[in-house]
Amino acid sequence: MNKKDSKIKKSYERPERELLNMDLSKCTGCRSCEIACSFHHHKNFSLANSSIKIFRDNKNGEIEYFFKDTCDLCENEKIPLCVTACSAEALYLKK
Amino acid sequence: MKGYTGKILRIDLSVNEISTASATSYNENFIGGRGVGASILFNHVSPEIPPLNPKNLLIFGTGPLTGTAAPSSGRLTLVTKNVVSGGMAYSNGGGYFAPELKYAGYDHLIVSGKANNPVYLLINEGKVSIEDATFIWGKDVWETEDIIKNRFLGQDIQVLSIGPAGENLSKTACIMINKARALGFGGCGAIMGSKNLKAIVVKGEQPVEAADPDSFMKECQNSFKKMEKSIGTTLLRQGGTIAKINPKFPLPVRNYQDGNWGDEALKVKENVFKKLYETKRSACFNCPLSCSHFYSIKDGKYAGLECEGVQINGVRGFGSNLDVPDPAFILACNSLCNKLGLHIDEISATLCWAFECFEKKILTTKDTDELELNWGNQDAALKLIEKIAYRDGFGDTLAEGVSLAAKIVGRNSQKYAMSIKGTGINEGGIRIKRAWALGIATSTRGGGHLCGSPNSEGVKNITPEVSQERYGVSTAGNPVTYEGKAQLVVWFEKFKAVVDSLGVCYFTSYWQNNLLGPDDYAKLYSKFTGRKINKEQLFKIGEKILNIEKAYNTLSVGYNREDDWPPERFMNEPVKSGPFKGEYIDKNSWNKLLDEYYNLKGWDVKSGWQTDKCLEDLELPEIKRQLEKAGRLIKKDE
Repeated sequence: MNKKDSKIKKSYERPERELLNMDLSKCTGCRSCEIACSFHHHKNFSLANSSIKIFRDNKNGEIEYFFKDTCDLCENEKIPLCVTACSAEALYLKK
Repeated sequence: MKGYTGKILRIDLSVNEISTASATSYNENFIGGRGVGASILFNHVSPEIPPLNPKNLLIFGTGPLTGTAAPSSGRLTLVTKNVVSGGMAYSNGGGYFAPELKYAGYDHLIVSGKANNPVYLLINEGKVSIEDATFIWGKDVWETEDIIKNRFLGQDIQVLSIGPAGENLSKTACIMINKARALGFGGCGAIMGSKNLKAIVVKGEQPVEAADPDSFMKECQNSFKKMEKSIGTTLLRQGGTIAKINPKFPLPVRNYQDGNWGDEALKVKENVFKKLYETKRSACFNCPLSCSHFYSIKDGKYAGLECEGVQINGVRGFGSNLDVPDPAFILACNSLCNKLGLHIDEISATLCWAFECFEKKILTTKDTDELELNWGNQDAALKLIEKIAYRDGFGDTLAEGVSLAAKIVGRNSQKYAMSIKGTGINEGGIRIKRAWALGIATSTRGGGHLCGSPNSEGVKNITPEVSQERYGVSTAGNPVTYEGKAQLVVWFEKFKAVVDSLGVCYFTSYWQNNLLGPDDYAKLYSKFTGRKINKEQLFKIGEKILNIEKAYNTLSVGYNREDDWPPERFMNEPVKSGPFKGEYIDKNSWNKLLDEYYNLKGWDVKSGWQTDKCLEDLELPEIKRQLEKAGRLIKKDE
């Protein structure tokens, strides 16, 4: 996905008003969320297939992140796979 | 087999040729990364070819698990002919480059030849091209990445590059990934420089798929859970490999004149870095360990420096061994090396040698371009690092690496060059931990602990029972005994060869205190590729890889038993202080340890060379044939 993509959002709202958010100070840039997301959508591994996108500045670790419209917050899962996969506990759901 | 792309991308820079080849049989026989690289090197780079000759190859490799949900699956291995040792080199680095290469559709990338002008390689949107690099030639690693990323603004590209050190063919040069991850060993930066190749830029779009996706994903999640419970994970998250530093932890001091830094170590402990400079944690691709950290220095001499993390080799190499207990200086040296594209271990060994030679008056200001190399002189150390990268003045000599620099200077300076098989070493505890030392001395990439050295000696929770169960010897936790240590090294070198070939980080393993073992990797590999494999089969491939590497060294340089000894200092000068005061390597015990090691390997005890029997057992007929032709194969009944 391109950073300039028009369909990107800063957060994604679930019908039941849950918000997927990120604590930027905790994100290590490991991209586990992207891998988990790709698996959710396509049962394979690809950064291009992910609905969440992480950009890391390799000088200071500053993170930018985006969601695509394709994010369904893992509708069949109790908790979105990206949240489960985040070892740094940076991604979280907020009501 | 699933999990692989099955393709090798081949670039010949001399004739601008881009082609692909099948990787299938290599992958089947040698797993991936390091194993495949060693085999390709053996088959295609004749031992007579000088490392900086265009015919030398840079063989970059991912592993089957690279880019997947397996923990820490971002590893890239480089195999090439070693500029420093003259034999083979493998280097393994993290970051985010390797997964992109795989998503671009390639398991391996081989670069040969030499471009007429500086170029970079672009792999993007399904196309591969060789592009002009004059706009980045001369730039440091950080500038290079920024300029390239700016050119591809908004695209999620990954950059691997050399700095001025590689361009100037400094034999201490490395290749950098994502500004702070290094493919360090073997002077590989100089090899890339000799090909006029400044950078490789990659972006991939193709997914990789498991043979059994759900079962593989479950296995990955099990591995993550196992890692969460480990003390190794806690420590690495706390402060990376620096977290283990304390006043009792063996650290080299003043070019190994002592092996204990005492309370000075408290000044460079992980909590000091954290309190003064750490801004956040950093992780490589899909890694829960986040052993690296970002730092920002706000005040003092190095104010304004922002960089990614130092590991224990930086603290050893620029802290204790230069005797400078200043974390800001350590960060400054570490990041300067990263920017200029210099291998921290070789640089440290070279600087420490120069400083000791200055202390002993072998070198004077007439040799050093007027620099006063007194212990603690931070400015002189930083200036020397720069001079090495640009081959400026005295830096031109030092750019040869510690072993050759000492030969050039002469004047009995060789005795202070801490190197094994021409490779500078940056290690702690050589006089204390027997298996650690044996692994360093027998490493197939020259010298260094990332081959057969276990990391368990002195670790309290590796009890005799745990040790016995895992490694078949009870002494893995006991540093000073020689008993069982050869077997331990034989176990770990196979394990490391397998982990490197799988494309995951060694830090996820038993090597870092209680993480994943060979059975875990066998399950991950089997479920991902659909090819059922067990620990024994993996270890047999590991042993094959080591034997190919060993044979390549024997054929290229003729390294033998004499070359598997550590420098004299470690046998003649005991540790002077601290809890291990008086420890040294006993020559008789070392001889016995080598006997035991060669016997376990099936190699000849007298010469240290391989035997026909050993290579027949491993089913490596071509290796046997080549060694026999060169007169360097020992018949078992001789």
